Amino acid sequence: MQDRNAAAAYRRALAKRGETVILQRISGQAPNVFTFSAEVTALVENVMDDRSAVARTGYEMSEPGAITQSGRFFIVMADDLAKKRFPLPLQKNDRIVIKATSERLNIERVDAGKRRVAGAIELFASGV
Amino acid sequence: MDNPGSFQLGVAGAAFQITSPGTLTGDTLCNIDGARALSLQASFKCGSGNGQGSLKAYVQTTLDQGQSWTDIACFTFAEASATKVVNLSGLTPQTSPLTPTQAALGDNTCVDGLIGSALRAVVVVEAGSAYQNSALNITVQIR
Repeated sequence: MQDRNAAAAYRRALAKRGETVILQRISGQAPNVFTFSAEVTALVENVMDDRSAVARTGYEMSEPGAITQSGRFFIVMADDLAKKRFPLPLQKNDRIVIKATSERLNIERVDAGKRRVAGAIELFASGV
Repeated sequence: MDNPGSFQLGVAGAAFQITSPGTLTGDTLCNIDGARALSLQASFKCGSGNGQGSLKAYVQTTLDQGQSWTDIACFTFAEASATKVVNLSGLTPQTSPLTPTQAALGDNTCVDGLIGSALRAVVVVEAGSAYQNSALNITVQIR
């Protein structure tokens, strides 16, 4: 069940500091591939260390986790993707391009449940 | 139409992977009520075959909310990469009753004037085909 106030809060955040990104679904096997794209607005956050992973082998889990270079954290609205007819759900290995910087990242994790109350999808992507 | 734009008629959110003989039924593209025209593109990228491959891609629409489907376009391909496009209008009069077909429309023909509430693609890979690393992408621009 989506909460209108929560969704509105996310929309305000997107309006204030959202960035244009292009989500891509690549299908087929190289060289015979097809791409379907959808341009939406997303909240883009910088990298954060993964506290659930060990940074180096042989050390305890309490050590700070590994940081993936060029990793980004995104929040997009499911409605925006649905309006652009992007085939949901988002999947690992979908691509995301940050339009302003032309960075092309590979989606590593998708969490559509955490922010479901606002109709938002959280995803983590890192550069190739 | 309230939400015009470019859409993909695929299966499981991706383009059709063409391999062995059989029928692949694509995802349903819903909520296109009010669509006046469709520009369809079928793009086939062929990796390799056995010299006997052929496939037919039918684009279908429904006029009874999905209870039955009617062919509105048929694209045929052999074992060469190719792209085919058509444009269909929902305002073209069809004053003589037609008998709808389901995955049986004539090769590379269309039925103009029928745009229902949803679209889908059905791909039939003919018997004797053996494609490898091949894919078919059908996109539609809806207005």
